[in-house]
Amino acid sequence: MNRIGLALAAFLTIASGLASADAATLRVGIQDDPDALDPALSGTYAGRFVFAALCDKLVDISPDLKIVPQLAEAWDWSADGKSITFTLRKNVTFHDGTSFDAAAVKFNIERMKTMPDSKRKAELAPIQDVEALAADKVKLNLSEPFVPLLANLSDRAGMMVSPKAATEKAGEFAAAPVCAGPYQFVERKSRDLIRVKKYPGYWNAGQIGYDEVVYSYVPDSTVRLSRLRAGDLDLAERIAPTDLKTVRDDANLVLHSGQGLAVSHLMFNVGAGTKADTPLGKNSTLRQAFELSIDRNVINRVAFNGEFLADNQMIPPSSPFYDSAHKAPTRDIAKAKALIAAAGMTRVPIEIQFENTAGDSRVAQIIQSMAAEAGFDVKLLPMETATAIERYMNGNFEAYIGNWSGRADPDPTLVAFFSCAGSQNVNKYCNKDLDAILNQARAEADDAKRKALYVKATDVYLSDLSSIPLHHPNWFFAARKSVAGIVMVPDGLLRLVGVRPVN
Amino acid sequence: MKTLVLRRLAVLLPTLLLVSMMVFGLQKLLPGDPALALAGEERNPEVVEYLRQKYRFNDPIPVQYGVWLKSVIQGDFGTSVRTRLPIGRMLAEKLPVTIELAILSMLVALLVGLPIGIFAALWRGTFLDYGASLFGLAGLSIPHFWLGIMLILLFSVNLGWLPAGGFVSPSESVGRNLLAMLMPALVLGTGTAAVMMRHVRSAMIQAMKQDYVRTARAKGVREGTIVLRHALPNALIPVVTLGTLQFGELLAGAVLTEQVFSIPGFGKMVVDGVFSRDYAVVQAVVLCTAAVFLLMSLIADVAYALLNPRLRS
Repeated sequence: MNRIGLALAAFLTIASGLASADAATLRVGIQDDPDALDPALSGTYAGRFVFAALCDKLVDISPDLKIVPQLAEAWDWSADGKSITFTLRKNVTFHDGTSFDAAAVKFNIERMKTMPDSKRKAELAPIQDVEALAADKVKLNLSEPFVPLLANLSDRAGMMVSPKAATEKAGEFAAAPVCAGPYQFVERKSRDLIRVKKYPGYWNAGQIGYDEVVYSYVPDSTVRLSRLRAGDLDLAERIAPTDLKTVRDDANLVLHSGQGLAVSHLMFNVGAGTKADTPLGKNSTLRQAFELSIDRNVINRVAFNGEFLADNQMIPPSSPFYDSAHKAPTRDIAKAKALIAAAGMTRVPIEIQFENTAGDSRVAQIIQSMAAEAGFDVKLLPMETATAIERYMNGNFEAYIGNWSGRADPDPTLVAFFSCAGSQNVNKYCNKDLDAILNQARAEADDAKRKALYVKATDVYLSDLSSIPLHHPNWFFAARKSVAGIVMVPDGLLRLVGVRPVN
Repeated sequence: MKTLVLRRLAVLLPTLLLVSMMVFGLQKLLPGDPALALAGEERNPEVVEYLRQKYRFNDPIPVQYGVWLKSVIQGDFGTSVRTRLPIGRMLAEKLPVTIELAILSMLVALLVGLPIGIFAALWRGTFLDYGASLFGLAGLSIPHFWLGIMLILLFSVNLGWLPAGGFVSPSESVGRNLLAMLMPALVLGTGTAAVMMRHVRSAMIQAMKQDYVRTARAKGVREGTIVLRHALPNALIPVVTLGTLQFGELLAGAVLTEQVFSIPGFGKMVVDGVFSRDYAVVQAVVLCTAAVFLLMSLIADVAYALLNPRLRS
């Protein structure tokens, strides 16, 4: 009898052990399959989402877009703004047990600047050299003052990988990355799942609530939600706006939402090749008429159930540099018609190109029907993604619905789209005055003065209107009630520090 | 029989070569620059150019094909340009999943389609026959995607009996593997069962009209024996053809079902590969699918011979 009792007790202990092991796994449904898991090479949001578990950065951003310490505890700009010295956190180790120190920072920055296919080159371009002053002190010398550097280091450019692993594995590093984040890499089954486990040596290990996190690739948002509701997943990212009601109505789920950094905008070709030779490409008054012919709130309501943020600026309102004085104009068909007439026209033709996703297709159709009332004959040209990107980069479009993921600092977005040599300035817009303002702003360390410069920049780009910003998508994550501690940050990445299971 | 198998195997290699050539050429006709698709959101021109050189996107197509073929012959399928993972490993992960799904759904199709087809033929013109036709129509016209979501809502969300998706390796747990595969196999199998049912029905109707059936009846053979021993083997020949073709189709054509149930199989891999212009991945999947297809048709030939002794010579 005693034996039976013992066996039963042992069984129950094992069973409860298994149950608690299950409870300590966070199962996350992600919309896209991440690309290469190397911060130097990664180019997708899904990749960044997974890096939030694997790789800590020198600095991080807070929900109100302030720069906060992560692997660097403090930093100090030189008086001329041409160098910055970081004090690094002590007793930090990479997942392979090697120490994180100034030499590791130097290695990482040089690696990202010199790897031939590194996607971080532009973000780190102002850094001329890196000096390891002491084990916990590292100095970055810049070619010119560049305030947005900190914001750049709060993303992949600031992620630190183990120099030992990066050197030894070289081209194979992305298959099993080694960083200094709260979780370490276990396995990746391509187009299926990525499994990471808690790193006991993490500098903030006490705040890590789950033993294991499994990111499952579930591309369809309805399916992602179904699996969450069925209890197969604990958290699903990017819930479709049309599914939010289901989440809100489900007592087992909690909706986590937050403002994002991204922007959707209608870009006009104003100077790239023959496609710029359209009435709207040549005349900013007509572009203003176009803006007056559309109602951003209607687009948001019809295409996204009113769950996004209709807005007229490239920088989201969550940014401290957002210019709240520049309100979006309300729809005014009479005024739009008057502006068209003033340009000597009655009907204005334009072809809008877009990626054939459900969201962009809806937006394009709504714009087409609204603009027609004012006198714009909009032709729609949906394209499969790779083709659309090629045409976009070659300036082979009259107008294009662009989606930009946004950055914590206004500089990368505004410079990319509006400076004469900007990487995203594929429509070849150029205004020397705006260039001067943007250059001044990136060197200005004083936030108030910097904001004044961005107000001026906003004034210029909203007058020239080479691109009409339409809305900022919000982030929507749905989680089961048993997951606590989720904090939404505008970059839409799930920080796992503080996330824990509750009953 | 041996000659038949050898003859079939002899055409296997040239066919695979031809298929790989066609797919390679057709892929290159796709618009869109793969280097731009790979270069991230900022698409630094320096990086784009480096990628073009590294992956030989600038080389003439025959040269690119030659390089690819050489490495495949050496057993190296290359690396996915998007994820930097070895494609050989990806195939080794996905192929068993896809084959398991195809086998299970074929099993569903046989278990459902075969008996319904036989009964519909034997009781032709009755309510059972009409019911079977209705099933066939429904099986063919219900979209997999919709059926999948409905099954998830019923069995996973409302009843909580089955997992809503995902794949569990049989090495981890056979029971959980089968539970996870049940709904996807049902969804895929329903469509195939409907096609199979219609073919079995018409083949059985034909077979039951044959002289040997009449002779058997005249000899006083029991009806059950006539159906199972005399008519069915003959009626099965078109079913074998159909089954092997459908099996091949299931290998690469289960994209939507894989998507709904998050099954990491071939279908999604090839679609993602096309969209991200990951040529080497698409090539590898197509090559594998073609090889399995050819193997299936070889199996079909052998099965014909087994079912019909006249074909053995």
